[in-house]
Amino acid sequence: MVNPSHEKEVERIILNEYPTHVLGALPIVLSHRVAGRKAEYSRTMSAILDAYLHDQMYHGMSTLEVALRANGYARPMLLVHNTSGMAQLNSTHSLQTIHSGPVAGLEATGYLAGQFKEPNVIATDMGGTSFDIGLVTADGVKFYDFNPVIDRWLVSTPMTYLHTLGAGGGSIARYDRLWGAVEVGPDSAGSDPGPACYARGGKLPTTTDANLVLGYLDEDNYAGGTIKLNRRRAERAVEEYVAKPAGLSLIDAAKAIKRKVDANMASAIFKEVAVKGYNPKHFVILSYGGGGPIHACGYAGEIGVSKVLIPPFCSVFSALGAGNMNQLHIHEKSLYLMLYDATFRTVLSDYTTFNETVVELEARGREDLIRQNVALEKIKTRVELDMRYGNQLAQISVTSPIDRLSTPHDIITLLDRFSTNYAQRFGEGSQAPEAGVRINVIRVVSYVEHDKLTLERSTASDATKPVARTARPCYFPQLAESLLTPVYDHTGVTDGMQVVGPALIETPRTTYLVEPGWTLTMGLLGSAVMVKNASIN
Amino acid sequence: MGGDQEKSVIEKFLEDNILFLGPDPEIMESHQMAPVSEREKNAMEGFKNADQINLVRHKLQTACNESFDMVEQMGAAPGAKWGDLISGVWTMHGDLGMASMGGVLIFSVLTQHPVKFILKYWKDDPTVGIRPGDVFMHNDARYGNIHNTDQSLIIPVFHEGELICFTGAIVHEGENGACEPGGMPSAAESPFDEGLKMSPFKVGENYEFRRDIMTFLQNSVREPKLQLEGMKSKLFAAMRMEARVRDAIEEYGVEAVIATLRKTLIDTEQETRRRLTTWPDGKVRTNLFADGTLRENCLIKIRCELEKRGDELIIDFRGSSPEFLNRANNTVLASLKGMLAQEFLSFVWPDLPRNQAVFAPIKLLTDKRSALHCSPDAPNAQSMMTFFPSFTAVQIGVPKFLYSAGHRATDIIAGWYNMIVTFLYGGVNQYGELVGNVCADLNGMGGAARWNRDGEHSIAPIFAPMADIGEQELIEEEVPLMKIVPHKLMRDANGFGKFRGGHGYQQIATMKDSSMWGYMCCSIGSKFPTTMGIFGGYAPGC
Repeated sequence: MVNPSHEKEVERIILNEYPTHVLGALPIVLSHRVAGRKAEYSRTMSAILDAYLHDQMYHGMSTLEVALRANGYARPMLLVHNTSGMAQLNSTHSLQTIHSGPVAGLEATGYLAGQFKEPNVIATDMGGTSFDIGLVTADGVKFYDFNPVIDRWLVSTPMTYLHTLGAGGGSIARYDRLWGAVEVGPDSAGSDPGPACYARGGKLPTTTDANLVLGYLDEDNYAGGTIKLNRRRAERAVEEYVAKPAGLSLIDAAKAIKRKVDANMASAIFKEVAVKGYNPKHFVILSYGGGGPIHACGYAGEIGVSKVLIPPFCSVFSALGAGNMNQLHIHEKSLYLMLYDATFRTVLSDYTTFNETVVELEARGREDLIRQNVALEKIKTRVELDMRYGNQLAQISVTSPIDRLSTPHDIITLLDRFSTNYAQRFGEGSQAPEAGVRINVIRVVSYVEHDKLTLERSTASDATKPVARTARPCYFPQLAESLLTPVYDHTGVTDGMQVVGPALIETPRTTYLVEPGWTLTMGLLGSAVMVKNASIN
Repeated sequence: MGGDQEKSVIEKFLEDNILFLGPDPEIMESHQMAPVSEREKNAMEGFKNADQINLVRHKLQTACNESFDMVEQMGAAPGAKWGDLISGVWTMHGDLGMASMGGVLIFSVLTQHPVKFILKYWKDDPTVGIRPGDVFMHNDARYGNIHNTDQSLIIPVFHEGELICFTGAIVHEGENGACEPGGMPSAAESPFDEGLKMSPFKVGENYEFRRDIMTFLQNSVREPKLQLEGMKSKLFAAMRMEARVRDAIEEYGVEAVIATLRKTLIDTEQETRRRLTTWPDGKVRTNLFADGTLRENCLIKIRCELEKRGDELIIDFRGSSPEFLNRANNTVLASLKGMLAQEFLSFVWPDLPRNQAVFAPIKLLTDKRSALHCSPDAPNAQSMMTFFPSFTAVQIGVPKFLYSAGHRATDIIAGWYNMIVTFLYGGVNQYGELVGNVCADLNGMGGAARWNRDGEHSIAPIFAPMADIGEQELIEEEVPLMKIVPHKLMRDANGFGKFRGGHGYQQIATMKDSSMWGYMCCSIGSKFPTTMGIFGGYAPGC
């Protein structure tokens, strides 16, 4: 990787044998061009996966581009990358497109956080089988997964960090004999056969079945009425597999399922945020995906978060993120650069390697963007450094305030920046500069900013009380008895209106559950804010 | 003075005049949990809703996993980077109640000994004591843990002046100042050749290390940098976990935490016993012979008889070879138990929680001063050479029960390849630093076949199914060891026949950019393999 001459020689030979003008010329994928980091296995896997995907991706996307042109789309086609950027097809590796949808959702979260002046946001996307967690912070730190696992293959392409766990509407509940308690997941009924109440052959109780038993879902109006739910099947599944073995009533079993799935998601969120050095209680939660708004109060409450946002354009939220992305390329290079050598007690004084590497990576980013007809003067760059103490595994990504080193003061600035980030993550005093400090990777993010869609934050206040379409008894884990819960149609709750929990607001895609103690204020374009204003025990 | 009175005076004199507190057999020879105390009993009576306990348990488990991630990220030892560690919460009586999901599961049943030593000897000692913010460490295997290359760090958690539990982590740090670099010297001929001998002791107060002690420890090893980073990473992970325990206390109350830790152990033991009852009663026997001490040829007998009776499993190693007073391949009894627990936690019931209670229904019979239950006078740095084959003896025996068991959490499996093949190294690296350790690529050994599928040529060592072998380019970046042939998969390398399993891969290495460098093979332990098929014969088919 440090010396790609052998790879280049192989490329030269292939080009000699199969020159590009020959029909059947081979696409050549060289590992050092796919992954810039050291690590033989993951770089090899990156190159192999990229090569496997290249053919189909290239032909599929080329066809799409042609079709777009034929239908009058005159602007360049940009593909969303999992690095939180976009690029044209000629500057896209196939590996960069994997998981780009969820990453676009996270990008939209960042944008929303900025527009709505919410400094710290945890993005949560709860679907049928999985629960994605992403993080947007006020300090602008970018979280990467340097070694993401794609399917079961470890690769080394920097990907915007998202954590996925197996918790969704399809998660299967069971009685755990070991603890004598109710457990949920990670097994999932998925969408086929799906929850027992779907009546598609699933017999095991799922989160969705518990939600139906507790009264949160309308069996005739689920997913806009497209899926009819069978209450009897849900009750039977919960009764048979959870209530009976646990010695609980049907309702108590369903409550335990709801509480456990909320707790599972809350724990996962907590760990993801805390291990990065942040206090989850200082965040607001953004909840989207089909199952999110029904559980958001639950898992937010478990963490101790008292504010939940439901985004606008809920069903196309990720597309909103894609539309607001910058055209962006990341180039990085592994190196072994001691800023402070603890053995010889010297601080880096030769700045050539650092500066030359940044220059080289900037040039590669510039080439990528110029190839896509971006004007040179519009190109911006950001230098990021992966740094560590001694021989740690940790590589904390630090946005460098400096793009060229010229004085010892610059070195101290980098050391301070790293120290601050490290202490935030692992605790003040955990820093170990005595063991030496080094840069492992220099990364240059080259980008051009695009026009952004402006979101307006609603300031409307409408004292009009929305009219409930109906009401039904709902059960909540923290309350012994059911509460008669008004059910609203989303069209009847408009900008500025408030709904005090308990309440249900049904939309064609999902159901907002406003739990007791929470109040929902509707915003523009289907957005909403739920705030906890009382503890219910 | 009457006879009783005289006896009492003598006993008091003897009690007051102990030369030093060596390993305590009462602590070291027991793997059982401490009896349920009144405090725990009251807590369990006050907080007994199983679903509530499950929520608290989930919180503490998340904390263990979070701190595991921290140690893995912050640690500098090759072992730490690739998962050779565990983090956990111990009860107020020193039993490991919960541990991180990842890491080396051997630690699950042998980390309690140093904590119990601290409780027994230091808690009420006016010169030591246990106070909030105290930091204790330990590495001497004769006081607990697997071998001297592992270092554990424990901090007490108090609530309103009451000791509630302990949090901490144990990491295979590697270098420990032994007569050979890397922490596992096969040349050791006495315990005093094995480097650092930390009995459980206080190394810090107010969550800070004492600099004089840190200096002493750094001065005692070849890698002062590693020592520093290892200690810091464990301390801050333990502190993070302490903060999470406090969160749980704030949310659910102190009774909830005490009750959850103890109930977790009780439930785990009950479940293990329940599973054992589904095995048929009976006896099976395995005899194995290791054939070297790493210094010379020598047949070492491992005699194993497994007897399943009701809800108990008795593993009888009596009749195995005596200890070697001048060779390092002896096993401390606690280390043996840890290794055997690995069989149950990884290969038989991987769905059970990681804690000490899994091994509670298992009784171990050994001869004192044998190679599997050595005395404190015997070196034990290469205990793997005897506890790995012992593990295999049990692993070959257990399936004979499992074929007829009422409950099986895993498929029947043959004997996993039972040695580690890699390089130990030491010297001055390409940056002028003095280093010494073991390459983490030992984590790629062959995996045994199951009744319904073939084994794997290279997958994981027997002691850490989730460990990684690390990236060669990153290893070469840190040490002047260049792998000319990094990982050439080996096939059928274990004895004769067509499907023979064996170790994971061959590799060829040389040194580069350092003239003061040495390395040696960490090899197969026995010339003739000790991993056999379930019903005898040669090695399992892979």
